[in-house]
Amino acid sequence: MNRFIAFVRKEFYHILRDRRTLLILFGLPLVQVLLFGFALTNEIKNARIAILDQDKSLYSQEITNRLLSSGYFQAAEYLQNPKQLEAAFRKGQIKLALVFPPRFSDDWQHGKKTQLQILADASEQNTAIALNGYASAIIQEFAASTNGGKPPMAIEIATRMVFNPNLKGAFVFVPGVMAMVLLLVSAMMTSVTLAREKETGTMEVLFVSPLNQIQIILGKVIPYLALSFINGCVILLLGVYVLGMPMAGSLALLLAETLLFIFLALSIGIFISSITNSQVVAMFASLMILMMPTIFLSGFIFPIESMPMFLQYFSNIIPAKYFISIVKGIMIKGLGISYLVRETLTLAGMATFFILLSLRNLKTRVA
Amino acid sequence: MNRIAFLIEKEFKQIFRNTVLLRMMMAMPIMQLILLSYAANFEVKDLKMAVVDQDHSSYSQRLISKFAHIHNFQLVDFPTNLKTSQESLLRNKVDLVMVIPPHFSSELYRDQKSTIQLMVNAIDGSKAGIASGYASSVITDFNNEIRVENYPLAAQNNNTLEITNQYWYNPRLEYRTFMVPGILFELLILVGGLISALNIVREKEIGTQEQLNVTPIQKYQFVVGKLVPFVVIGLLQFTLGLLVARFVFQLPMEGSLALLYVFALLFLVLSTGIGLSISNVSSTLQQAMFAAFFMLVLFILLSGLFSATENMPMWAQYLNVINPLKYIIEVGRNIMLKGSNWYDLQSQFFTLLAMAVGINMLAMLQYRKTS
Repeated sequence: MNRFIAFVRKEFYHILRDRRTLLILFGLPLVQVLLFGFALTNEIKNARIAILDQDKSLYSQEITNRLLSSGYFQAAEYLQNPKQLEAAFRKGQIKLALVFPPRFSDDWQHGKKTQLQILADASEQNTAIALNGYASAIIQEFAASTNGGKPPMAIEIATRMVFNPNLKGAFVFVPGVMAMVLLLVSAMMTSVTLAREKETGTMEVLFVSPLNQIQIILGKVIPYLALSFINGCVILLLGVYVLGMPMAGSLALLLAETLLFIFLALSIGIFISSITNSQVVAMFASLMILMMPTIFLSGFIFPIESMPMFLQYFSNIIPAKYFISIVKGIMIKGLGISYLVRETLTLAGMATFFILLSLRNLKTRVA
Repeated sequence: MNRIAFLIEKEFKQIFRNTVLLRMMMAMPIMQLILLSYAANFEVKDLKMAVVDQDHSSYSQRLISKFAHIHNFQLVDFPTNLKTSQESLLRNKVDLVMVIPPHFSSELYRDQKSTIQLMVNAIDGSKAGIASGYASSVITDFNNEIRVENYPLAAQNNNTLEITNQYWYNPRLEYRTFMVPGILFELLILVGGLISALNIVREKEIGTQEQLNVTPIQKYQFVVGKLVPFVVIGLLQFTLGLLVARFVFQLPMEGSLALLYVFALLFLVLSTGIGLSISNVSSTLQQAMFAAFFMLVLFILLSGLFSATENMPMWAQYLNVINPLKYIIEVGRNIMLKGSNWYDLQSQFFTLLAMAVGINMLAMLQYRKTS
């Protein structure tokens, strides 16, 4: 046991000695959470639009004013004729164009059919749909207000946004960034340290020492487990106190789950390093296998239900998916462990799987 | 000149010798381009819905069957009371709950109005917004139907304004069309920036940097020699990616292919420069990797690939001024989807050019033969 403690202490010294890595290790999650907590948002405001007013009446003026004072839009250009539309879009300056046809207000007042045109740059699809929706709603509201009178048999719709009444983006991004940072930092660090021992040949030295394999691996993992756990706590504190995440459930449970997830990440790191001898390959593999799929397939940014079926199945092997739903469940919904059994068991199972696999790999390598 | 050629030859030999890395560098980005493009989709569909019908009238039945016939909604649950419906929201079994109040239809006849409650799981705010929008429009449709049945005259007189919508450049509103050009360049910076960041540090770690230092090689020769192989590999990758975009995703190529390549070349020189510069100041592979990783995630998430840059707070937009990925993604989308030409994209070109020259100058100055 004493030997083991000495080994762990040696690993700690190794890490603490490299100040620059340490700085990045703690600075990186901090900056990222703050940055993305504030910067990543799907709210739309001040979208640049062009207005082609061929009517120039009170009505067209009023509609334009209502759009511009809504906060969603700002006027970037007032066009003179339809030919300018194409160029305005192509320069990428405007997201939307509103076209009033000639004699728009006359036709409308006399009950003749007339059409307002909204053109949207749909190369950014979701922005286009949302902007179109806002603009249409504002215009319809204007039309309704000038018509006057209350319609009969009105069904009112009372919408309640449960769990996140202010529609804060942080509710989506904080759990996601937390999962990504913990996974990447833990997995990359361990995979690289082990690969480094192999590359420099010191792994052999470790194996001939009286420590057994499990002790070597544990000794390598424990310092990173501790560091990553501190990292996780810092992210949580930032999330709650700076980004206004709620903490509805049990803190102890959340910390335990975080520990479990870090352990899984470390075991993935060990696994990666057990199949390669080169640091560069280990890094590239952990970055490519872990980073992009975590961003894209875990439900962090894109909803899993919208993916094609085969990717939905595929997402089941992405560890971050389970962790994100655990974090959301505990922090936002206040769920207890009884709701999270499936996710927790999956994470624990994955960790066991990777540990067993890498133990086997290490054994055959050295033998 | 000869010296540069030798250095380039050496780099290529080293790259080709490491077959594992080479295979990963070529195959992984392409696999990711395909996989991620399918995954990247904000489209909201198959909303799971629970209905609490406390009225059980013919109107409430009609409204429910209207939802049942719209393929955006799946009616999965008919809880008898509010409490069980909240439980389903907690368990993520449903995305939204519609509550039809008791006496719904009699209220409509007697008071001329009634209220339907929608409870939407809003953890993902933008999805919730779209879901409630869909549901509201179905209810409004239903409302218009019963209004016409009961008050045909009043409904006719109501003079509504017609609005037509056109979605340019992506009329079928496919998300992939928007994402593929972005992911393509994102993978370029990932490979170009990362692999080059690890390159010089590795020479330092295994000691071969010393050997280079004692040769008569000049600073600029060193940087150029390191730059060229990565740019060549990057261009190869870009070509593969374009082929995938064209033949797997049927992406249009509205603008000039040559112009796109000019930008890709410029961007590769820039991202390799970033990598080399990181590599020069790092002393271990681990440091280089974390620094590169930090920059890349920053660039990627801020680039407008996922959320429009205009919606970010002012300070993030200022930060984005130095984000090369932001410019190149704009360029990629504009050339491929809109057919923008040289005149439309001049400002992006000169910004990227200035960055590329700047960062490579920096990499050159950082390279010291003596420590």
